[in-house]
Amino acid sequence: MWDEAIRVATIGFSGVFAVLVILTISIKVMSYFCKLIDKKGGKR
Amino acid sequence: MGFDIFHELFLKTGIIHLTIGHVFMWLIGFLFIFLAIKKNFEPLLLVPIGFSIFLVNMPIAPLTGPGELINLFFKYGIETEIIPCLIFLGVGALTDFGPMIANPKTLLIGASAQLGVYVAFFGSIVLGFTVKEAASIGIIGGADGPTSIYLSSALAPHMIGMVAIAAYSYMSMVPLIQPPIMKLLTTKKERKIRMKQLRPVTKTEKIVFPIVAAIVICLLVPDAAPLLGLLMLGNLFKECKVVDRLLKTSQNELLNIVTIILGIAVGATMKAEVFLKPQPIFIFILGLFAFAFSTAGGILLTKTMNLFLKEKINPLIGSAGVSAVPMAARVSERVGAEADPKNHLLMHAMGPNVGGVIGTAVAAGMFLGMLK
Repeated sequence: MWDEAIRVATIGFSGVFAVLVILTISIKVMSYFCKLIDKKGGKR
Repeated sequence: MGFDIFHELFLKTGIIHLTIGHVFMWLIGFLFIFLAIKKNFEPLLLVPIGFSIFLVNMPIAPLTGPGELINLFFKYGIETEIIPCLIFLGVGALTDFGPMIANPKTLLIGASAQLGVYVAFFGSIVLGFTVKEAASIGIIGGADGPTSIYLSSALAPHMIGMVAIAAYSYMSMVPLIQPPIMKLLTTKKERKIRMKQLRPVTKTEKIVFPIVAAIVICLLVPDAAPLLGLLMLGNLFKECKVVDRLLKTSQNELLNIVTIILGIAVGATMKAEVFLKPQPIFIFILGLFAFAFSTAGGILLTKTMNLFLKEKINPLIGSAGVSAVPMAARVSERVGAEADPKNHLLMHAMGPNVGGVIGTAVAAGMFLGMLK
């Protein structure tokens, strides 16, 4: 049981971090493109 | 003849079936209602939960048997996992993700505030719970009621009531539990750190965010899709400004209806014969540990980030990484104002706060992916 518990906790905690790091990067990229779109829209 | 009729009537009343256990549960129900009305602790939930505890501890009342009223609420609302997801729709419709979009690294604080989930998970294993039960107990540390119910209904349905009660109790006690831990882990100088005002977030960013977040999360953690998918749909209702009727329904009528059903269904799990055992006491103690460690996890990561950042983050916003929205953020504001009355941390703390909602749902999704 301890083996399974350690596996679940290790994968779980690092998984949460990994997903949120990817989401952080995605938001940065999204913001960059949104600003670009807004700038283009503003110029028109 | 007359005596026989009265005797028969008396046998059909609940009085003869009343036990000390029932009366004890009435006291717990009364305590919940008292905390809600007198202390204003999560009244929208504690009033229906408290009253439901009264109702289900009325002996022989036809409420929780197969096909009976509260049993149906539970069967179709909780066991099918519909209610937690609909609550997330309402939460999404009420949440402003702007502070998190303006400062996305606060999402990582939301991740670190899941530390308590895993501390309580191991604590539960030590106390003899199974891995699935331990996951359900651990998620209390995320301080997110709907997610706790969602996870335990899938992994340990027999524990939903205890887990939900513990989660909501600690959520309502955020202003009592967090400040001592926050003060213990920070210096006065750190508590005085002033943060730069957040940049304005454009309308386009706010509209695109729920779509991007739904794609990223649903692809990476499919088991979190029911919760986070509806959270993001609710948020899209809010930000797109073209579905006013759907937005209002999600924020008000729908959320209120599911909250009533949730409160009644959760309270109904607290029957004397189930609740008066050592297990719930262990769950409450482990829940408190989970909550404390989650608070500490958020603060400690913020302090670690400060070692590498040019513009320092006030570590008090780390405690808001638990997902009790917006109470945890308000606690950060209040403790910060005690150190420096002109320092306003509320908007900064909303970033990790909503990040914590996502973090807890992802943690639940990871548990489900591995254990379901």
